[in-house]
Parts: sequence; C-alpha cells; structure tokens
Amino acid sequence: MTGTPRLGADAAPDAPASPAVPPNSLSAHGGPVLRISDLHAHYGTRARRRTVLAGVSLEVAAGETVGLIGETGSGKSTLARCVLGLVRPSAGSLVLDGEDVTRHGHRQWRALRRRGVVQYVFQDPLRSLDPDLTVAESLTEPLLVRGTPWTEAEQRARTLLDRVRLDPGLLTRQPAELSGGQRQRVAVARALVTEPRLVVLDEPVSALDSANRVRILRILKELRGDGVALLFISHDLGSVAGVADRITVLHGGTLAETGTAADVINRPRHPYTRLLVRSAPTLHGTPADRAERDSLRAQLTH
Amino acid sequence: MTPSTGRTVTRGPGEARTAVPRSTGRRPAAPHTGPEPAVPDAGRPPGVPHAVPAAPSPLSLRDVRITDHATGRKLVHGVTFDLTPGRTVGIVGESGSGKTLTCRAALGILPAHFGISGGSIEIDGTDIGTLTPRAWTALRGSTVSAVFQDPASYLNPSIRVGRQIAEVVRVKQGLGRRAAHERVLGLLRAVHLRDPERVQGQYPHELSGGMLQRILIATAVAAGPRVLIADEATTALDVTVQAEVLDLLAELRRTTGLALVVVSHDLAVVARLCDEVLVMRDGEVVEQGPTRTVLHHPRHPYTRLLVDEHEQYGLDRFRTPEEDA
Repeated sequence: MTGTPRLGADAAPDAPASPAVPPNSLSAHGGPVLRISDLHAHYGTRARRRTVLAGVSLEVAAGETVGLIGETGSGKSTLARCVLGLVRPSAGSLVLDGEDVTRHGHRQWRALRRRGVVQYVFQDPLRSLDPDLTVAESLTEPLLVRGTPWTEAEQRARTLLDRVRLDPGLLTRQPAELSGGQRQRVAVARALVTEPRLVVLDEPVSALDSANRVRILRILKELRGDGVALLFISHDLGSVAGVADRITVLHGGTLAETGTAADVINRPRHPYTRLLVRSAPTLHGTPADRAERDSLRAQLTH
Repeated sequence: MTPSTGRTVTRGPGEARTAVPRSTGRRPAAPHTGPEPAVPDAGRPPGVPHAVPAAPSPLSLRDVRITDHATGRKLVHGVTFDLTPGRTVGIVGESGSGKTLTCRAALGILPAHFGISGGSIEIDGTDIGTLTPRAWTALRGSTVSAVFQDPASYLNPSIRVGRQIAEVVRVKQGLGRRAAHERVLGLLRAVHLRDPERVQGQYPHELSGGMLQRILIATAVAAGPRVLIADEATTALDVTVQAEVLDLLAELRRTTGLALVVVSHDLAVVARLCDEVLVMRDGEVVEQGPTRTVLHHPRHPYTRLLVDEHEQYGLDRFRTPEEDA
C-alpha cells in the first residue's frame, strides 16, 4: 500500500493525508459518503424539456453497497452521471463526502475527480480505460498526477491487480490485449487506485459471462471492509441482489421503493418492485405469468 | 455462408444415430451423462433400420467435435443431444466453453477454418456434411433458425422493420407483396407487439431493445422453422422484457411445436425454459440431464460451483427454504 500520499497542487486543503491502512470506516465528516436529496434532472431545452429524474433521494454510507435497480428509461444512468458531475441536476442537492457539489462547475468537479473522491466503473471497460495506455499506466496515472513517486505508484498498481486477482504480468498489456472479464477487473482496480470514498458502478457486470460476473461481484463484496461506499447500478436484479446491502428501485425517474436488500426482494411493497421481482427467473420458485405481470402493471400509475 | 469444411470423420446416418459419446480420452463422464439420455425421448429416431420409421429429429447432434484447423486446437470434445418437436435443450457454460460454437456448427456458420472434426449433426434426418451451400440456404430459416444477443446488429438500420421481415417470407415462402404484408402483421401480433401496423413501418433505431428482439424472433420464426436456436437472446433485456420474451418462446414452443436450443450463462433462464440441460466447460459436456435434476441436484463439481455461485450472487440469495418447495 502507499505510504503518506504526497498531495498534489490540486488537492483541496481539507483532504486529510489519510494513511491507506487502516482505511477509514467512517466518512471524514461522520455522515454518509453520498447524500442525494430530492434530485431532479432534465434533458432538452425549455420547449421540449424531458424530465428524467423527478425527486430522488438516497444515501450511501461508508462501507455500504447500495444497489440502484431500474429498467431502460428509469433515470438510473442519469443519476450516475449526476453523481459523477457529468450531468448538472436542475433541482435538489448532492452532497459528496460532506461537500455540497450540487452547483459545482467543471473545474470544481475536475478537482474532485483528481482528488479521487469519486470513481466509476461502466459496463464497457473500454469506456473507463484509455485504450492507448498499458494496464500499468492506467493504474499509476491517477497517482502520478498527484505526485506519488513512480515506485510507490507501481507497487500500488501491483497490489490492486492482486486484489482483483490478475497476474502482474498483465501490467504491460493494453486493454485490447485483455479479455472482457480481465478488462473489467482492471477497470475496478483503476477505480480503486486513488482510494475513493465512493465508486459508482453503472452496469459493471452486464456484459460479462457468469464466471466473470461472479469474480467482479466477489471483489466488490470484499471492498466492504475497506470503507469505500459503492453505488451499484443495474437493470439486473440478480446481480444487485447478489451484493447490495440496501436496494433502491427507480421507476420512471422517481423512487419506487427503498429498503434492505432482503426486504426489497422478499417483501416488495411497491407494485413495480413486485413486477420486477416476480418477472425475474430464479432457480427455485415460479415466476409470474403474463396475467400476473399485467395485473401488477395495471397498478402502476405511470 | 461457410459450409462445414475439413470434416475428417463422416458417418452414415444410421451409424451416427446409434453412436454413443465415447469416453476414451475424456475425463470420466459425469453420472448424468450416460449413453442413454436421462429423459425418455419419445421422438428419438430408432437406431435399428427395420423399425417403424418415426419422424426424424429436427436436430440431432452425435458426439460433435469441433477443431480450429488453423491452430489444430480441438475446441469442442463431443456434444450429443436430440431435439423433438416442442422440446427445449439448454446449454450453459462460460465464454469459451464451446456453447456458441456448437450452435454455429448446427447452423452451418462456423467461422472460417473451424470445422466439425468428429461426430455428426443431422437436421431433419439429413447429415449436414452432405449439404451443399444451396441446400443450407434452403434449410436455414425454414428448418433451423436463430436469434442472438444483440438484435440491433442483425437488422438493417436503413430499412423499415416490416420490409425486412417481409423479405424473409417472400423469399422463403414465395408470398406476394400483399400476402407478405399480412403475414408480417400476423407475426408481429404473435410476438405481442402492440400496434403492429405502426411498428412495421418503423426503423430499428425507433424501437427499444425488447421490441427489436421480438422482431428478430418474429423474423426467425417467419418461415416456420422446426428449431430455433436462442443464443443469449434475453441477456441484454430488462427483466420485465426478458419475462415477456421467455413467455413468448415458451408459447411458440407450445403452440407450434417449435424445438428450442437455449444458450445462456443464466442458469435461471435455462431453469425456466428447458427440459434438458448440458453444462459445458472447455469444450466438454461435464454434466447433462433433465434440468431439474442437474440444477437442483448437481453431481459434477463444476455444475455445483455454477449453482452455488448463482445462489450466492443472485436473487436466490434471499430465497427462504420454504419457497423451494
């Protein structure tokens, strides 16, 4: 692990030079790492404005994995983009590691990202990895820009590869020379290299086969002990159920239901959650037939 | 399309039918994998020539082996299954296990320099080794058909979807323009698309993934095939849409006697649709048998691993024991 990271010129003065071991189990300010309150987001101009998020609230604490379930058009990816500073919310508030980032501009977001407070993993690892960089470069770059010495950064890259169970021999490869599953594990390692408070994972396992899916989910479960907060976004109920402590269900830009994973899966209250849970095939039990799905759909107001 | 090149073993149809998977040179067969299919298979053609001729199996694989002739690597080491009308066989396994290659062999679309190096595949009683490219073209779509994971890449983005389906029925069934139009609307209704008249006039980009996959299924079944190979066909879909598509496949199977090969990494999808399941790893069938037996009482360590992982990292994680009954 790293020693005391040297703070780069960009690092905010309030960022403590926290030693990597042991990691903080509590956020620096004691509250949740991510607090989203009554978030609204729109696309398009005033004349043809389309509401994508209409008042969504959720919190993710340090060391907690919150699953965000939604289907196409639910607004889940927009929410991810808001949390990463790629979409500006039109109302509500977004507090990240104690800092209100709702009105942050590009420069402030860049500084935040450079500090590595929030990181991301997307469905397509090629979106979170630079195709021209070797694995070693992808993993060390975020540290080198902060002024971490090369040897230390390289050691950290090796440690992280080990965590995602990849051979250090892959350090010299480029993303194109890796399999899809290996690439996604590199993307997870890259996201962790700056010891972020929060990692947003948008469909991280949806393009993977079952073996690689389980590998990634297992790695994510192990991260809990590190105190990093995970926001796991997916349309795949099974994967979310596999790792999340709590689950929030988005439907048409609003929050349908939120609760512990066991409650949401076993005792869904909202008809939309029931529709999702009852639609998903399982090894045991019988999923809903078309009539039951139709009757649940009929209970939805939108 | 590539005809299966480089076949080094050719067997007569009768011989192929009686052939059982050889166990020499392979890891010991898992308990479910026996010479006899674990499920009684009424439609299985008799191996003895003088028996009353039953309708041939729409698709029958006998110890199929596939080799990459460029590298000499053997990629599939013996896959055997028989379809009968309305029957569904599932193939599970991770990428590289050979499940997709097996399907491609059955469709006669193995990649260049890949070939069937052993065993045999029969479609409607005809050994595919004897098929000319022309005969393949006649079979594909009208006897064996397929849908894959990414529906958008199988449709021409610049042609309205209705015309693309119409082309299939005009070419395959010789329908005229008006009759083809009517058939298209019927097919779109059959896959439960609302407002077929409107949908048929739309371009692929105007439709959602679930709608496109239903259109692909409509296209795949347009010429009335006996076998549909669904390779990860519902993997990319939203869960409620997946449920619709799975229901649709089950319905087609019930109403038209369509036989299905369902390839999926999702054990639950296979559990939902299939009578029989093959578990593949590294080109080898490690376990094969009735779906409930294989998935609820797996015998091979690899199947057990898959089932455990599924139960631990999926919805089944929260199932209480009472619900298993």
